[in-house]
Amino acid sequence: MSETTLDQVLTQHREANKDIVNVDEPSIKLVIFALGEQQFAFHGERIREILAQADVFFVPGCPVSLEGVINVRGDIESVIRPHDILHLPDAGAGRASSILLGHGGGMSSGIRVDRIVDVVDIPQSRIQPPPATLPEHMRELVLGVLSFQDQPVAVLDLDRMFADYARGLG
Amino acid sequence: MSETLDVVLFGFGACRLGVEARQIRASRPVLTTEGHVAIETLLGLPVPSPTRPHLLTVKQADRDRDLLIGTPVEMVGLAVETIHPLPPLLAARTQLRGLRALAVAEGRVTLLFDLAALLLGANTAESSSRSIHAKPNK
Repeated sequence: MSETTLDQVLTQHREANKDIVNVDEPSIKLVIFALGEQQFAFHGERIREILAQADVFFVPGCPVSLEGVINVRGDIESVIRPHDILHLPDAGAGRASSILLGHGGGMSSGIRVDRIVDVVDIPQSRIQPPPATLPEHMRELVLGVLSFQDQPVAVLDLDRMFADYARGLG
Repeated sequence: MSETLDVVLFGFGACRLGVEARQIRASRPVLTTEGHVAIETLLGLPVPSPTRPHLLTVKQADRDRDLLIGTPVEMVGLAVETIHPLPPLLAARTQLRGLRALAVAEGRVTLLFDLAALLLGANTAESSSRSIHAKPNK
């Protein structure tokens, strides 16, 4: 029979709670994903949905980076592959790939990513300004950087990405 | 019963292309493709070898115009709820002239074109070309 008493249990809880510091620091939700070996993130407020599987219908006469269109419960959305705009090699859609349904700059589209890493709430202070060493094509697209699970993650500006894509980049 | 839009459909590879039926006067098979403009040329698509060439007669204000298509056509009533405007990024990046909307039904996408606008553009281009050629050499 256990010798633990209710008082002990409650005391343990009180002691444990002493270590919890209530921090009112604002946090933001990030959808972290991988393209090849590199990790990126969009602000969670910009991502409406993550689709693990969807039938993509090919549309001729579009750039290779526009994979096609998907039917999302009766709405038609384009699906773009962001690899070109980020100057990354595109190995094609693998089994772990997903489609992020994003909206920004008055536009919406699916965005093909190679892998979803996580959806997390991060204190804003963890996001650092973009380093000066960023390649030129990334400077306008990156809002900030952070380290997540010991990996660098670039937080991308989806408004800018869609606007750049619409005017022919990528 | 849901509202429908009458559309004339024809194939392009694995895709289905469609135009409003009210813009079409007739369709008939032809034996030779020579001397005819393929619809794919107007759309900006590569022209495939037609398996069963047909001529589509398109109504126009001044004169009807024949366009070559590679397959027989079919006329269907597309439920209006299956017809969607182009997603903005696709609208911005498509090279297909005259593409106006997409319809998704029965697991297939149909690309809907505005033939009148397409032909108007082609006629304007032809006129410009004729004007340029008609200029006397100095």
